[in-house]
Amino acid sequence: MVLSLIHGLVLAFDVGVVREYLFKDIIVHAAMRTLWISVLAQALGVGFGIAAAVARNLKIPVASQAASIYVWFFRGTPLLLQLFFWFFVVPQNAPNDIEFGIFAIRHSWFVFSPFQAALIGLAVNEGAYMAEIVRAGIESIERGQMDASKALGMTNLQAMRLVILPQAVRVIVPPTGNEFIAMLKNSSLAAVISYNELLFVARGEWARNYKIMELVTVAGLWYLFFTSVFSVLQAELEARLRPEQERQGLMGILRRALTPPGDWTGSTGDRR
Amino acid sequence: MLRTSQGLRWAALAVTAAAVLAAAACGGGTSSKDKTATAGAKPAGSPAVTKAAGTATAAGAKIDIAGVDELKDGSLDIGSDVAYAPIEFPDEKTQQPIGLDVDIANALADVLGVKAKFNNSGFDGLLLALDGKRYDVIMSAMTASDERKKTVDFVEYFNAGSGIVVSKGNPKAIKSADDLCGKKVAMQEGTTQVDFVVGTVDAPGGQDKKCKDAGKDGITVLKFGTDPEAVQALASGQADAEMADFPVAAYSAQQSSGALEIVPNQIEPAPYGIAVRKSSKPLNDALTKAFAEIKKSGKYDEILKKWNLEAGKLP
Repeated sequence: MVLSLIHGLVLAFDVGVVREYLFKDIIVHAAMRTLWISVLAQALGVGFGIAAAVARNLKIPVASQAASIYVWFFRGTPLLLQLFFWFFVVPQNAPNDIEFGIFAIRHSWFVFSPFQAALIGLAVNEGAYMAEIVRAGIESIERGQMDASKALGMTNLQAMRLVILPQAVRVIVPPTGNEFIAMLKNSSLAAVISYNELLFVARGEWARNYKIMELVTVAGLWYLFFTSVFSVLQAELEARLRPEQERQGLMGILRRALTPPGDWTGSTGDRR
Repeated sequence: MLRTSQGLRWAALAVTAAAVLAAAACGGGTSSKDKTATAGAKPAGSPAVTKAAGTATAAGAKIDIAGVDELKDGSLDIGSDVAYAPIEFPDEKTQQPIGLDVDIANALADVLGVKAKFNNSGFDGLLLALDGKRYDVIMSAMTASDERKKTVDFVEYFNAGSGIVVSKGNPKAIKSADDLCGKKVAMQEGTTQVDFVVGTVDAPGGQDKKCKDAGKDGITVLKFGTDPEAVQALASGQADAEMADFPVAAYSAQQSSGALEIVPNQIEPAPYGIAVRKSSKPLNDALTKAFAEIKKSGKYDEILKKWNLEAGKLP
């Protein structure tokens, strides 16, 4: 059975089709849409996550409880379900136009297009996961930092913004990088609400020409390309967050991208 | 040898390897074992299985299926997307498939002396599953298009075109396919409606291209896994129109309690067919004969009348 699979893959595989579709307009546009929505949703998600984590950490009344419910609900339900919710359920149950004098809330604002529903769904979902990551980052900073900031006369929020969060960034970056790579792949779920992302478009093409193997390869290559480029960028970002690192040009970049930080003893290499 | 822990490890490895190989051998094999087992046990009430038959003249006579591999297990396994009222959809109370296709399949199965079994699966994967021998046939309101005829054969049984559903009052004034230019149209993935709008490999462009050639805006297509989702997109206002096979579109409009209406003209009527693998000639013949039989016996007309679909009768 394994032999027949290999036989099928090697002999029936049409490299010409792969070459034809890899840079075809329709595929490239779809790949760009995947990248675009992933970047946007991740950026918004980080924002929501920081807001939720800070609200819970500083125990801001009402906001803290709301943040806890937000994290519970959006981590507790499948992303696919959430996408259906934003695209089908919200427009169906949106209120009719409400007017207050010159202001109004219009029903049509809630009739989300595939792009809008996908963006909201992915961002809100990501925010719930980011809230926990940011929380880990904040809690990794010793209490002394907060006490010292308050002693200097800062408010809670100022301390957070100027002292705690900047230091927490080092702890937050690696898992966030992980989240972004997951986001690139999760974006393929938006196909169910007809967002023309990479995998959906590839499926449309193979439904037409039956060349599933080749188009799966094309889509796979694009995803690999995005995640690989991003991994290099993440390694660079981590390097710049660490003091006194040798750069050594392109080779340095590649070396850092391919080696995890730390050595055999498991230390994180920041002891000087 | 089993005394040492190393010996124990080798033994465990050997057992696991044997289990994996055995599982692969059993799982990978087709139901050839099943077929030889049941070929001996003939179903009690089928009189004509071994007698030569061909087109029978007496009412109730069966058709010879001895040479049909797929039917040796006594069951016609049908792949279908059971979410397409009134052609095939789940009964509200029993959740079992009902509809035009179900009744016709049952009628054909009766004549062949087997049982029809519907298996629910996503529409756009059905032909691939048929090719992979997961099912005997596909019967899912599938249009016998030229595109599909390249890879499968069809036993035709009904005539239907595409229909357009719009919101109550037809606010975007869509009266025909040409009025779809510049609009957002929802539909189900893998359907001939998609081919109609975006074209096929042989005839690229479709209605979308026609619009652009005429200087108008193209058609924005919203594709969904099931037809009800596409209808919901229309109902919520995310699409200006929805396209599906005409009987299905008419049924959606009918079920919407006035929120949706059907645009009266049928677009490009074409026959529905039961999809059969090109390699399954005996099955194809058996089904063709069975269909001729139910037309002759009046069962076909009876079923069409039940579902109010006499308009689609195949002459």
